[in-house]
Amino acid sequence: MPYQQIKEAIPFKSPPAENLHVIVADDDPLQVEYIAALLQGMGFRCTKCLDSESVLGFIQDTDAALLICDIEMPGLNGLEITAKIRSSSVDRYIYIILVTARNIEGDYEAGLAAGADDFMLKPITPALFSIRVNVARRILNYQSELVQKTNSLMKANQNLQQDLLAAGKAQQAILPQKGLNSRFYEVTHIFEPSHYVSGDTYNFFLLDHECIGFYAVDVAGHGVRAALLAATVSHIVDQELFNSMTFDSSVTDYSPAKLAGELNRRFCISNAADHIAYFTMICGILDPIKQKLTYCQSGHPRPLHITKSGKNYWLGEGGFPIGLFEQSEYTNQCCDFAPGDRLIVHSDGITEAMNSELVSYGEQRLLKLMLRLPEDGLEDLSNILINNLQHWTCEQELRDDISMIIFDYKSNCHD
Amino acid sequence: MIKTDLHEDGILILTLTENRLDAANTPQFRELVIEQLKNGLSRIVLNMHTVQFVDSSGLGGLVSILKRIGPMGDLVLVGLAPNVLKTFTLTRMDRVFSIAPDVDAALKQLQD
Repeated sequence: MPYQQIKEAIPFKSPPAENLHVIVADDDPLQVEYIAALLQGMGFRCTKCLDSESVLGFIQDTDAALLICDIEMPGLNGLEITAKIRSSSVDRYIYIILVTARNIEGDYEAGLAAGADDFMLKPITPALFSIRVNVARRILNYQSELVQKTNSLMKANQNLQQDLLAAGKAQQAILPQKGLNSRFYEVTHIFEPSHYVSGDTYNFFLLDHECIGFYAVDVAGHGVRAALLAATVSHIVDQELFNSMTFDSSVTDYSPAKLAGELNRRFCISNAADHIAYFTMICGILDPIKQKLTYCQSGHPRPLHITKSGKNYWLGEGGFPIGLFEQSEYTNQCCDFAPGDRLIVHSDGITEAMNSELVSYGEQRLLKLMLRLPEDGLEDLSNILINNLQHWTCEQELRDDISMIIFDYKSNCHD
Repeated sequence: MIKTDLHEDGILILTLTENRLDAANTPQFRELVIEQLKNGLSRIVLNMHTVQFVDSSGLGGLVSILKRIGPMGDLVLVGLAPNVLKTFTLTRMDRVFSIAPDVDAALKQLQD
């Protein structure tokens, strides 16, 4: 469990003080020995340097985290060494204390401006020295705790992402893997989660007498919570259930409203009072012999019907979503669906995509885009749609899950 | 997020100050309203005139408030923008919620 990992991975302990490795730099060997002796007395490891070049070398090659450096050095002086370290890409924070014997006005400011953390005047007294070094140690400890926490958060985040990625793949796997190409119909579909997993789901089946049954679901909200419910719906509504739930033996015809009613009954029961999980759905049946579409719209965006001659209709007057109210009633609606006609079912992630002025992409823009689709095939549908939405919202990432199914009644199927 | 105004007759007028009600702000909105319900007031006018967009999470939040108020109370929504009303019509929520054109009409509805 990722949360557990985060808790365990963060140790709230400081690294032991003996581990602190200090570089002492001064061109006066006596001074170096003196400071080194003080540090060793405090239990620290020490590296002694008499020139500026070896300071930079030791910073690169050792794990030293504290530098105590004299300002007046031959070659690069202490200020220049400080500036060099700060502009270099050392993989850890180096705490720098500058030391000077000259009390020149401006040295203190110049030292801090160059990136030093502290400043000491010679002669160095053991009492004050040990207080200053302990301050350094405390800050370096905070620093290393911060690094450790960041690392473990990154690791935990990586685990979460891998989990989500795997969940996304699992979800893709329960969707139809490819379109459907029957004697009468051709079905194309696209699925784009906004963030690894999606609250959208759908399926379509070839039923008896060359009919096609389909449903599309959009769970309220998005992310993992919505995806869990979407996956549940996908598993419940398989071809067998779809067939048995939509077929009304009393009138020997399909009734998608029956399926909506049954799902509503099931999902209302499982709803908690403080969090309502619900979804919108459209389900329907295309009958090639009657050349008819029967559908039940349960709060899902209106599907678009484009006839062979180019007339277009937004279908349906709305309906209750599934899982909100036990007493909701669902009704069937019908329309002609003839050879050459196209039906476009989509989720609201498309029409509700908003630009910076809070204007939705809307049905009219979607209609225009759908009328401009290439005649020779829909292979590029996903790219076309996503490019359009990105252009509209001026954002790379989708804010909501997107899905679309296109049903084409082939024009030449009765030849 | 919400301005609270206690009208005479014990009717609570809540005015939303957000321009959208969506997954990001609905949980907080719901908590604030339910906190008000704990004071025993159950006749409520919710003025949504600033809200330009309600998504599915926002709709779920409103329904859960409606359910919380229960059959003994009353909730009237006011100031639904055309775009919001479209969402209500699509999901038939216009038949579930009482909707009034303005606060005065809503108060009259609740007082009758």
